Amino acid sequence: MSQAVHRRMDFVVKVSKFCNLRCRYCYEYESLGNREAMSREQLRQLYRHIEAWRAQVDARDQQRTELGFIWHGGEPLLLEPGFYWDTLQDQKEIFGEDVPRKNVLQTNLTVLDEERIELLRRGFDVVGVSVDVFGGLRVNVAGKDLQPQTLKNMERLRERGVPFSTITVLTRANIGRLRHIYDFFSRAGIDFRLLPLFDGAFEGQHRSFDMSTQDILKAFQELVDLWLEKDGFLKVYPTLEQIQTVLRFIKGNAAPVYYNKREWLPVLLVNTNGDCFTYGDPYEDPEWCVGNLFTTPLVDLFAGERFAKSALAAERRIAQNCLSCPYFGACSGYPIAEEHYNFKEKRPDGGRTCVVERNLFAYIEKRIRAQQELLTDERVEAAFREQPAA
Amino acid sequence: MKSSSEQYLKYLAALSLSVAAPAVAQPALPQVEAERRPAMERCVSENLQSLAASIEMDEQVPGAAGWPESTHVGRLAQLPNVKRAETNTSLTWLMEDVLLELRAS
Repeated sequence: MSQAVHRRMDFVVKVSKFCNLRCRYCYEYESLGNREAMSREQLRQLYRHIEAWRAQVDARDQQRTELGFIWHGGEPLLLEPGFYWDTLQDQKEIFGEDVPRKNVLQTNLTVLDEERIELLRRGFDVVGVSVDVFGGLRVNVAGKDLQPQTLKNMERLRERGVPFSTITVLTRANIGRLRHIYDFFSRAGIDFRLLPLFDGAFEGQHRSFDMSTQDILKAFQELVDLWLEKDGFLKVYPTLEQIQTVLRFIKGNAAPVYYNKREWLPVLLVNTNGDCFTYGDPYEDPEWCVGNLFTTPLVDLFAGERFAKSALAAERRIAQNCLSCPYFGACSGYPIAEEHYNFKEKRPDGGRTCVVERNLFAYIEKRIRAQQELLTDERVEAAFREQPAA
Repeated sequence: MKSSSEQYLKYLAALSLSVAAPAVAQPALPQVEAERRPAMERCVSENLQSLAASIEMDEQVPGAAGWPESTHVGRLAQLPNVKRAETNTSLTWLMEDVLLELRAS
């Protein structure tokens, strides 16, 4: 088998729900005071179950899989750095040196000392910082906006050479400031992902800053415009992925891509108690838990009835939405199968409707085709031209 | 197209017939019109060129042609070296500057 990585699976590890912030939109809001955390031994068992599955499927498919561990909370940096050094050492022992893997930590970056800076610098491959720039919704228990503290600590990371990207949660509180948010990240040279609001932890939580699906669509359209128009290539997600999809569609001869959850699941969420959920299903709803990775081998979890139910639900969404969509094949169907921001729009039969990507792709295509001179630009043509075989 | 893709599409087609409502064209939401901004086209060209080039590079990755289709999900092509913004700006100062611009606009 070649050493090239062929595919990737991410595990979002909810290591603890405990958090020093009380962000008003947090979908974990009611659990943020809970100090329970995954234990070292539970994580070792998790790794063993993952490794047994990886070894099996890589041998079967003659493929090489990269494993991603996305450490999430709560605030994962409230745990002692020693906890992470131990579990990273356990990864080395259980996966060995040859299994490619990446560790990503998603943090509010309000708690940072020398030990933690060293942990982020040497222990993790990627650091993600949550910062909304506008809105004032990321507050502590006393209701104080801690963004200034986050910005100061981002500066400390830069001074120490720790690379990071950011996630900005899109709400009604900052949706009117997208241009300024983009300016901020662009001038700072910081990559960012715009993440529309998840469903809240309780009824009415989002009342003052909720958005419609159309609001989300318009925000993504604006982000496309900003990316196209602004000088300098900034890595803005999901905009880059969305434009890439349309470029593949326009190119015409790119290999089709179809999301098949039974063939490959790109991401699995592991809750603090080991219960697992896929992204397209209702989070923490016991009916949609696909199994417990502390107690159940991943191979068995994927072979189980719960996972089959989850896969069938995703396939129904794709079948209902994508077969009539001109972008299917360039778009894999993943957005309607799994993305949370398509949850709100329902068909008459109760199924979800792909509103965001379907309309956004049409918008991007229109935007690109509106510039005929661009499409005939010899540099772009050269980029699309088939390369001769080496 | 790979045979596995063909089988999967046939399966999806059969599935669409088995659900209560057949697949129909989705109603389009009102869209924000794409405006032409001539002064910005140089940047449009440069950014799109970089992304298009990244797709081309991505498809040259050894073994990529044999990847199961689903593994392409969420995968962004390796981006080529691109021009980055200046990174030594104070973020606190930058935030204040953006707020000033916002108040002035």
